[in-house]
Amino acid sequence: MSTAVLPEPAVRTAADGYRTVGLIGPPNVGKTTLFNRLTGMRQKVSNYSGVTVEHRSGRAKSGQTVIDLPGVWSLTPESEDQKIAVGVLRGTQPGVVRLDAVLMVVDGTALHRYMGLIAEVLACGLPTLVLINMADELVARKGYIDPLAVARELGAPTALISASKGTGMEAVTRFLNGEHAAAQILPVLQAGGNAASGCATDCNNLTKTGAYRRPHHSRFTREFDRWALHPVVGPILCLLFIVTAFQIMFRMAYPAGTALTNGLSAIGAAIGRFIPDAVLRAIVVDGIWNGIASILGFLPTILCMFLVITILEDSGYMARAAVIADRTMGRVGLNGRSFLPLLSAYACAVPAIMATRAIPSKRDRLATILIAPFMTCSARLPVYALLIAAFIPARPLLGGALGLQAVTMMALYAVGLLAALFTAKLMNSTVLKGNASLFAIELPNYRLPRLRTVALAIYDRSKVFLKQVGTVILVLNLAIWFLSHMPFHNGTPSDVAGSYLARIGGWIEPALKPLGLNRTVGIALLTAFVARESVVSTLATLYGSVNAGAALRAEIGLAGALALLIFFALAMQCTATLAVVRRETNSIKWPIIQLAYMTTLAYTASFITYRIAIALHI
Amino acid sequence: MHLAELNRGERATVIGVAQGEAFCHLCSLGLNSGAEVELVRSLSRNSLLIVRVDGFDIALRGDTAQTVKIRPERAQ
Repeated sequence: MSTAVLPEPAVRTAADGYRTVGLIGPPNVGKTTLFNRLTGMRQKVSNYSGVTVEHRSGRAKSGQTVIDLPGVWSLTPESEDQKIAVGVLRGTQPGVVRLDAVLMVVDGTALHRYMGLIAEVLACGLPTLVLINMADELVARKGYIDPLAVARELGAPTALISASKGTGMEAVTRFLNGEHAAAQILPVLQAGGNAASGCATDCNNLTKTGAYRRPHHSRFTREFDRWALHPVVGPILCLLFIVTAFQIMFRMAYPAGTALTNGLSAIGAAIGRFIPDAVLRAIVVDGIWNGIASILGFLPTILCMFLVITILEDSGYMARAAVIADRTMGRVGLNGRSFLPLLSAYACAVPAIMATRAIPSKRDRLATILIAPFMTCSARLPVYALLIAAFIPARPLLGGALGLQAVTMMALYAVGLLAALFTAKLMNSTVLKGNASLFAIELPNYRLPRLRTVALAIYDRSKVFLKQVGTVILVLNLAIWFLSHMPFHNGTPSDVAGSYLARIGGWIEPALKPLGLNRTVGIALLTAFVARESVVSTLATLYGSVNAGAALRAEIGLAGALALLIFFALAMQCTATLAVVRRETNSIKWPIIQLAYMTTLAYTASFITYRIAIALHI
Repeated sequence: MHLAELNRGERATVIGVAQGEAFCHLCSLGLNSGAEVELVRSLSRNSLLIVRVDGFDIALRGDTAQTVKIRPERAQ
């Protein structure tokens, strides 16, 4: 299956059919679902040249190239998305072929809102088929629409479809094959099962067709929202969902990732025995194979994260969670929409930063990207666990209800959260100073998440992660591996202690002295750049024993350990995150600023912690 | 009168939305002139409003709601 390769658009298609078709419509009307249905796995995701707006194109089964345009509410070129949509529709967008025809997708349950946009698109003059999506939901909610009347009103062919269920797709195929002449009023009627209801009167002054009846907001939605948005019950309910999601993440996905990495490493070691040359074996097994294994180890957590996110989003609950969170977020100049990405960052900052795409305001999106790595990600956990087990006594607190170790762990989570809120507040009054962030969000009807949507979203995001971030991680991984194994002596790699990395560790030692840390910890912190959790294995290698905790205790003491924990909680030590920030902000500036800021903050906080600990004779 | 001044359960008609950062976004949520609105509830001392717009619920901040001009139903 050639999933990544898209044939050139110049290939001839069905006789008289269109070659390049644009898919346009507002966000969240099922445009992507339709795109996926039309193109299946024959998709290519890239960026429009020079901007972060995603360019998705694919090959339809009937041969046409389908371009999924950014979701827009109007064609007034205000935002980057809208500029591009207009550029593509007019054939002036550099690097994008001229469209032959347009598929315009709108949500049938709120047709009255889209009449303006439909008119704007039709005015562009391309042959257009208006697709009224969610026809099934409209009927289920006792709405009614007469596509013939809508087509007459618009002067363009119109069809009712359900992109998620795949009904009405024949109309799309016929249109793609050029069976409808441009600008001819040739509506396509779909048997929607609602023809018998016969109500032909509608008071909607936007459609003016007399053939559209708006559906009701479902009774369940209104009843459930009474509780979901309740000032007291709402937050409790929200917290309950979060705790459940975390349980799944930490209890299932994280161990699965560790097991996967270990399993793959074991396979690598077994394969390595068949490579006679020691250097080659080390490069292939330790450098490349184990690098891939550590990247794949992220995957279960990321899959799980996206599973939870997609289910919450598709069910309609996420909008309510954003409303609940907005009050707290507003205090630091963010808004409710940042809540979901920041929550995801507790698993891993990489999918969290990818999830910021749903934030409409650029300023809020950037702020969220910049603070997301402060949230305690799952890769910090093994390091916290090692240091806490080694240094913090297992003393019971509150009559045994809590342990000192657990409290320390929670305190570290709090440190990360406070640093994030502090940074947001700081940015709000400095670099991102400007208008108060606006917050207005639709509360959609609740519905059961659809398997297809969930599966495709997970597939899509994992592919982006593996392809675009994975390659960067792999290269950096290899670089660090070479640094930690060079120079070679008589054809065998040197151990970490005698490597270039150790020399670099020696250089940064003076900087670590004020924090009560030594060269060994310095080397471990350097390897942490590839993957935070590798600190544990590096320390084990350097101390030549599995029980690195005891060896550490002897060398840096409790004060040094506390300084190290604080440093680790705040430092930006993750190449994967830097790579994804670079990709999502489409600039090298922001990842550099982020790295510099977080390192400075971590160093300062760590230094203060060490001094206080020394002063208190801890 | 603007949207943030409505009382719970009161209905009104949107007259217009002030131009600005929020304009496009609010239009996309159905707050066009002519739309019928009803305040469903307000959370945390009016800082967040749940508004029914043509039968659909949306949530918006009080300060954002101030940009939406309305004509209350009584006055019609």
